Amino acid sequence: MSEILTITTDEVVPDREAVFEHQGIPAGRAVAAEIEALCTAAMEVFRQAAAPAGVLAEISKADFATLYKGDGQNEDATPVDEIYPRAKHLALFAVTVGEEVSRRIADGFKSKDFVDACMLDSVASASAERAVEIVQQRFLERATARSPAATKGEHRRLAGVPTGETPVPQFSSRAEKILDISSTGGDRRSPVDGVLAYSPGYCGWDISGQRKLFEFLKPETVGISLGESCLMQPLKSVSGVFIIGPKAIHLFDNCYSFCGRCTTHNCRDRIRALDAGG
Amino acid sequence: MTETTDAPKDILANIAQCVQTGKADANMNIPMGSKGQPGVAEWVDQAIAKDVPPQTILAEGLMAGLQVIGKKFAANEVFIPEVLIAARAMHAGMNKLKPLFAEQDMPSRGTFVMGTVQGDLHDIGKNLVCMLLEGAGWRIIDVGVDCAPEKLVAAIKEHPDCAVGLSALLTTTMVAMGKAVSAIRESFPDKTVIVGGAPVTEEFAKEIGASGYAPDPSAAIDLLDRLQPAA
Ligand code: B12
Ligand code: SF4
Repeated sequence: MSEILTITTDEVVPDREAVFEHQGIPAGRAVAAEIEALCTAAMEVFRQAAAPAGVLAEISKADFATLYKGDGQNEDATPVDEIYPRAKHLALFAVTVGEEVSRRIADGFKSKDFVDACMLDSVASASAERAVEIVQQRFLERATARSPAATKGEHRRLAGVPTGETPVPQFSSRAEKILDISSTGGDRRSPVDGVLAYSPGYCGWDISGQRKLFEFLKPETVGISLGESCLMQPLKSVSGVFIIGPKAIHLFDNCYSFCGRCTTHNCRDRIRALDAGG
Repeated sequence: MTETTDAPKDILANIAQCVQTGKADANMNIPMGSKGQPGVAEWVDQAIAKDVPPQTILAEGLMAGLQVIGKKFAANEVFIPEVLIAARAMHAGMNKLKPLFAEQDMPSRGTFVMGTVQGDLHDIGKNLVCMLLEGAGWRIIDVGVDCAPEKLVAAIKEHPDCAVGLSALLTTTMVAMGKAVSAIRESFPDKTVIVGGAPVTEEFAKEIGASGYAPDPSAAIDLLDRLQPAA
């Protein structure tokens, strides 16, 4: 059963840094006052135009196993294949910042107002990503309130490298660090669960997986539709699965067959952020 | 800003400088605190008043300024907003020059027909490529997003000497890119067709029979120079 989520515009207004990142400006780089001003103006337009919405549906591992296979177009081995069997909770999601924002961006381009349209585009993209974070955090809080954190033993078992594979030293030490099981003495933290989102179109999960995801989740109820080419409308929408479990289940080495073609290696940042507490 | 005499070469240098800083006209407060000072529009007016040929203003003022920004962009010294602000300033100058060129004489590097392929609605990448190619002197025919192959072929028929650009942002719509290239090749076997977009690669471009791939607008300018050198 899908749950319609209430998401406010205030919640999804992105950080300036996230917007600048979408403008291709490296993190930490000084930004000229006029570009700051453009960003402020775009944020204001965004506040007027945004209509964020989202939908969430918990899903069993068995159902997810079928859904994830999709039309059989995924890569042979993917991170999600390894991660979800060790998860404690799974939920499909779709979020959007609404159609009006995209309309304003398109209008801006049509009237050759590239500067403002492009900044608004970046605000909207960063906001869609922010919406994912908001919903994922809510799901984590709710799920962990419902079920107690796993014991250290469980964490250790769940964090194990996939059976049949030789443990990678780097993997093991990072897992130990996250689980806080290698430190000696003192007041050890109990291991906490973490959540990450994985989306069709990323890391070996073929984008055609959107079809099965939509069949199950029915995001049409909040105005998100799927076209023949698996493109969602409104454009500034994101879909995927939230996977909750001991943080260490999300650790993997980026040496899948498709990682060589990856231009972002974004999984490293995501794992780092999780490690830092997310 | 260049120390100003009203010699044409200084005026042209000021135009180029204002394009780089994005100072479109006197009214604009970019860079911050510069409101009231002349911008591209005013310097172009001065150049016209001094009888500098419009072609020279375009090449040695406006385009020279944008080229510097293009190079800085490629070297990661400036980023998307600076490029767009510079292009906007350049347009302020172009608008002044347009009436001076009879439609036929508006100098152009060539015509570039550009569209996002069928099933894909993304247009920001396409728009940026169009804008920077325009800055490099190309006349742009933007056929929009979700372009069926027939629409592209029709646009090429209207502009038979054009080069073509196709954009796609999803792996699913890369299939449509392949179909678009095949349809173009059927009617125009030797047409220059360049492709780009986040998931597109050099390898994929070869596979579908495109003439070339470019990861960004600056590379697209160079690629077109190689594939279809200026007459
Ligand atoms: C921002 C972003 C988003 C934003 C906004 C999307 C949008 N475009 O409006 C949000 C967060 C909403 C989003 C959502 C999704 N995204 Co997204 N997204 C991106 C990201 C990070 C940047 C895209 C962008 O706007 N770039 C800025 C523009 C200016 O760049 P560009 O379009 O690539 O164009 C430049 C060049 O490519 C080139 N170029 C472009 N066209 C042409 C044409 C020619 C001829 C030439 C020469 C050059 C050229 O020049 C341009 C300027 O430099 C890319 C990854 C990446 N690094 O590119 C993924 C990416 C496009 N997304 C991807 C995916 C999968 C998705 C989702 C399906 C995920 C999901 N399941 O929800 C959804 C789809 C949304 C939908 N409506 O269906 C994939 C697509 C690949 C695939 N598997 O199909 C990418 C490539 C990430 C990846 N896996 O590597 N996304
Ligand atoms: S390297 Fe890229 S493709 Fe490979 S898992 Fe990481 S993010 Fe995914």
